[in-house]
Amino acid sequence: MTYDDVSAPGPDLTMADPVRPVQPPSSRHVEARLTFARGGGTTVLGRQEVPYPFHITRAFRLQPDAPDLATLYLQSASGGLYRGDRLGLSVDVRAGARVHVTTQSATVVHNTGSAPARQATRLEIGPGAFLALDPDPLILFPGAALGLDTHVTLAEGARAIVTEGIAHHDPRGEGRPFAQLDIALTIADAGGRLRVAERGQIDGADWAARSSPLGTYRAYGSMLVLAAEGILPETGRLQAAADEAGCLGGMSPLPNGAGLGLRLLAPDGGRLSAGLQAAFAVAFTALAGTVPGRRRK
Amino acid sequence: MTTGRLLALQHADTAFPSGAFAFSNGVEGLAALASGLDAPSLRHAAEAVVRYRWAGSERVALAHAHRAGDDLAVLARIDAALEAATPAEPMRLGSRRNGGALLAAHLRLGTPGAGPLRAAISDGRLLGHLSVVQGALWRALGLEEAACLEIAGYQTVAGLVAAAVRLGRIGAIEAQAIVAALLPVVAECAAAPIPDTPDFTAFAPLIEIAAMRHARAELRLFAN
Repeated sequence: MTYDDVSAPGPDLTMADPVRPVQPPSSRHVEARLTFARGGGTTVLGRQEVPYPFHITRAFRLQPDAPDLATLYLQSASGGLYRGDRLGLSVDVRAGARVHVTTQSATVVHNTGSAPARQATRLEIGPGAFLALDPDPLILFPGAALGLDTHVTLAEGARAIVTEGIAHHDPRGEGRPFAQLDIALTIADAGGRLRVAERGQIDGADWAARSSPLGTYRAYGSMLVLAAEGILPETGRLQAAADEAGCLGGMSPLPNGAGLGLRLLAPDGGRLSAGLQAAFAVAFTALAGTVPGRRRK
Repeated sequence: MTTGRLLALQHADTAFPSGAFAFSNGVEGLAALASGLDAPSLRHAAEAVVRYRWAGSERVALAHAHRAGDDLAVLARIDAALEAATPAEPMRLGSRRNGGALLAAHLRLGTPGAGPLRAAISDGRLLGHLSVVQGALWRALGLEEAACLEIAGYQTVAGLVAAAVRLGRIGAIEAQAIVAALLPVVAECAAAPIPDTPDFTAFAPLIEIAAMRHARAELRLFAN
């Protein structure tokens, strides 16, 4: 997984030519690994492997009433996802640790030509641990083909919030579509039992077609809220938070008691971000027991 | 016309007591959205359902269930995989309830294989998703896989437009125009290759969101 810090050196996105695949010197096949553990009454980043293009900040303490909860920003120093990229992110949250991993800005997926970019995320949440992962949306440029593969494993008493957002943008304003999007998600318990295993695929031309499965909306998001039933937020509040931010939200219990799944549609990436952020605040408050502090971006 | 075609007509007929009339599969939710529901928007929504939900999900489950025949262990694996691949609860529960209703009709008709399916659902080995029940029972009746896929695809479209008619959003003539327009889409999707394993794909957020919102509504005509 990579996240684009648009303030970092990289291609000028507004001038990118969507006709030709944009490519860094070579496609990247790398994985970042973060391990959080509980120690000394707080959450510490015990181990980290952060190869280029990944970059992480130190762990911040942004919750005065929950000082054990660490917040960390994940960034990319390369200006987005490119042709042939195969990037992975593995986050292991050990027993009792509590962590929020976010990003500073949206990630651009450039024209990938014939070699789709792939992003694999592996989240392992230990007993009584909490992980919130809410990256800013991915912005698919014309010609971009992207495969997302997320696998979540939860131990007994684990809690997690995982968001994903997709929008499309043609820098030339000519309405040229992205190439393809492939989204896969699995959720398993510590015993290996699959509770959710879904996959969606769509071509860029269909994304914006009259018979689009998004209707007249052009941005899509999802949020998983995974916890024991008594801890989960009331579904109406999540839906209302998304709606008030200008999105169309729907939430329902996931299969096999995995938790709740929210789907969001929005007219554009900006309102999608706002909707995800509003729903995230409701879910975070329920699962972490504290209102999320302001995350500067 | 062969007996097989006549058999297909019987099981595609909306007069067959399949229980499908109770389910709008998201259409009532679409009608309740601020954007409303008219003939053009229903036609586009139904095409999206066929291409982006039925083709990669229920169609694949039905084909694999047909190939499994009366092998309950294989049917159970298909059933469980479809359950895990359906995050929207109204769609998930609707599929199971409709499967149960169809099975109940076949039990009364004495269709071969209906009894063991009912027993497997009763003792928890099966969930009884509609596509799995259709595949197993229609094969037991002698329907070919291709015919089963065409029947199910047709019923998917017919069910969506019938719900819109009952909700008063479109007329019967408009409904048939939509069905006619979508028959080539159903034919195209029904004829697409079936994956070797029951791995499902679906991406239909608008109608799933509509169904999820509908599930919270106080006043509803349909079960989903």
